[in-house]
Amino acid sequence: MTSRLPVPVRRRGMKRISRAALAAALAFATLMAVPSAARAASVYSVGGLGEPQLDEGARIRALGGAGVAEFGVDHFSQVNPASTAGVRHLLIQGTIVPTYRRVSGPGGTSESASETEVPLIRAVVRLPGRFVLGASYAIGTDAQFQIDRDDTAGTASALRIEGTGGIQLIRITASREFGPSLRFGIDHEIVAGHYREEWTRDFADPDLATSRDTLESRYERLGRWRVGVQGNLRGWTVGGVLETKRRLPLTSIGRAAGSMVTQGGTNLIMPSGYAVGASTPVFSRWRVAAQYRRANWDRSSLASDLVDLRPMQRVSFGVERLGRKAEDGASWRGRLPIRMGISVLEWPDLLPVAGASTIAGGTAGVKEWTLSLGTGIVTQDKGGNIDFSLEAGSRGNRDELGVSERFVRAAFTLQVGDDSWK
Amino acid sequence: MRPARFARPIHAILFALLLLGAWGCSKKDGNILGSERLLRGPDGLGTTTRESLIPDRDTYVSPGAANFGPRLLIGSQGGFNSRAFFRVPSWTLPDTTLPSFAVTAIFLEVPFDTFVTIPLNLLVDLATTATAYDTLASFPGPAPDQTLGSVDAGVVLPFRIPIATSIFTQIKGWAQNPSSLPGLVLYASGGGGITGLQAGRAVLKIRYDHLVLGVTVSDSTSTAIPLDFTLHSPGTPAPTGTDTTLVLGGLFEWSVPLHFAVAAVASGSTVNEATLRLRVAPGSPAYPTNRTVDLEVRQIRNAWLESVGFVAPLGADSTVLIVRRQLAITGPADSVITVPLPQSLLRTWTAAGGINEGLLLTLKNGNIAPEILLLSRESTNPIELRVSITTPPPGRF
Repeated sequence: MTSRLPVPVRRRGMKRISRAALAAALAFATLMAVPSAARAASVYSVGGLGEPQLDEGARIRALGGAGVAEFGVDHFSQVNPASTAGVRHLLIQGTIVPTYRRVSGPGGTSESASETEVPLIRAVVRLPGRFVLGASYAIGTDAQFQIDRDDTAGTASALRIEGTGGIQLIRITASREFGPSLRFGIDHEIVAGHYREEWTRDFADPDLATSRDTLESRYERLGRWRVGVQGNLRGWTVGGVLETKRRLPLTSIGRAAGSMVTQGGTNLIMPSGYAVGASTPVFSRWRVAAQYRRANWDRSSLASDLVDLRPMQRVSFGVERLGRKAEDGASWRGRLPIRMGISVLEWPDLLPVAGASTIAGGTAGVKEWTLSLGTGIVTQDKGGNIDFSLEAGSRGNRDELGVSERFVRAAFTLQVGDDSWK
Repeated sequence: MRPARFARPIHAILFALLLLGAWGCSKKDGNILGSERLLRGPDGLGTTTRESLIPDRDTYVSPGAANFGPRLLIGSQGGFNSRAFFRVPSWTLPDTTLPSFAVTAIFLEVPFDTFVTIPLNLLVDLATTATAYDTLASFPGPAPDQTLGSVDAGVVLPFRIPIATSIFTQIKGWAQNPSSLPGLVLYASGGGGITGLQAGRAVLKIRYDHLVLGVTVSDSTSTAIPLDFTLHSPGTPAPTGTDTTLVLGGLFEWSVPLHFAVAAVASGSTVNEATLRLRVAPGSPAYPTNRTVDLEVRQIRNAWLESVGFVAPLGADSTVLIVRRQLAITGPADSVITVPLPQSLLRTWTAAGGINEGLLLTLKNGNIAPEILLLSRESTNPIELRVSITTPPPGRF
């Protein structure tokens, strides 16, 4: 059981928001105002399901995403609905992730790009009867991209393709503690979002009007269930989650000037999956957390000649050095925790290898390695906290897929509790 | 002063995090290499193909009907012969009970149309018509009956035909019963050439004297004649269906119907171009300086053959599909006239239930300029309809 932080002191007499919380809120709001049109994801998000997102706050991200066994009075994990059961008050959490990417292509060419993503917003509140209710919006995969290329098929043209969308998740969470050692939680997860591409084809010949096509792949917004449990045993916290499968009828819509073509009859099947993990203190101020998460994507999940699917797997491991407590007379620096993590992610997408136009020409998967480092501070009113993580990694194999990618990203999570404004 | 430094590595990391946060918007630098992963099947990303169609039917046709345009043409030139007809719906007469009333002059006055050259020796007669004013009549229209006056069209400005004052008695009868005057006609009775008058501007004036307090005073009344039209002789030379040139505009106001066999536009494809390219024959006469016309394109609704002859059987839309404004043929440089058509037209033609009977080209007020000679499908360099279509891009999955 993690007990690194005491139950926040409720300062009911405090009528004003502390300066730190105000500044953090302002900074967060500014970052949230970043136009969504300015975003793009991994170079591999041009095809397939898009870049899988780690839908966790910066605290868990800094632990490599190992959150299935995390819980506490003021923190929780997205992966396990049971992790919210320990929350004592209202908590609102938002995370913003700016990313810098370096894409390496054939012949040593390279390009850079940067974008900002908001992968997670969540609110949870404690109800009578030790129930906790929550709602969250998370990004499952991000399929945003922009491409400029010259096309010489037929009349020469310049293509610009802007992709948006991906799989988005809306979760309603209910959880409850059963004694000090057992927590259950359940998510009703609505799979939302869609894939949309805007194709603009310009011609050098002014007699030819620009082609504008809109391609959409829409699936019905349907829900599935996620059930989670956490238990404490001999200093260990163990967590597990099961996800159910859901079939989502898929419709493809192609629009051009004066024309619309709709095709249905296929499905996107959100697969079943699970996550298991554990955490434990190892020394007086150190603790470790580990997690394995799997979603059972396979060939039957999506009928396509352009992408094959395999199980998505993420292995996460994190170490945290807890900060000293203020009551022990530690300086503010000494109270800062330090978190480190590593994760290995296998994307579900098996994409056509470089030079092939379909999966019939061979496929290759995308493996992603990430190292993370982070810390966090508790706001002066003890009602919220701000966490940071810095993540660096690489994904993909240039020999197989034609391009590879390295990335550095930061995650900022602002969490405020009702103590912040009481 | 001590230099600033980070007390611990974690502080440097936090500072780096803050810098990262300042990124904000995307730079979008990675737009090119991403195309390495744009793999969308063996059919590529959609292909744009351009095709040039030549007409499978083309000819030129005469209006064969009254011209209600802004000018009245009277006279003859070559095989062209034209008359103008008028109808007076109501009259404005002087008060004949005035003391010592006496009609001193009666004349028909019409402003010249400056676009048409005024001939020097064209004799124009004004006459009543033997039969009723008929807007549906074909040339030569209602025949002249009683000649009311005559004038050399090149002598005076404005165009004015004196009418004998003795006619005033008849005019009073026409005023009492307007239908007793079938109509008026202006026609060339001698000389050559053509004069143009402004349509809708004819006025019949009656000048008269009468006494006011013992003094003779001159006065006049004007009767506006708003109803008029021109009829001209059938166009010559008549089209044969195998002509290598098509005639557009000119005094005969030739129109050109065209038909192209257009293939159906595949569902989801984009029509990038539907451009008419009208090739002008080398011998096409040049326009006078600063003279332009508007080329109007209409859809034809009725089935037709190249022997059609006239505009009416084509059933062309009254609504203009597209206008190519301020067109002028100034010389060899104007060898091709391009007319971009609405891209939706091809879909309209080829959709289920769509009708493709082609297009009718007409020069608005084309009689103010020489005809344009276009190369027909029988020529070696014919008119073409250039069509560019892009097949739809493949879907993500």
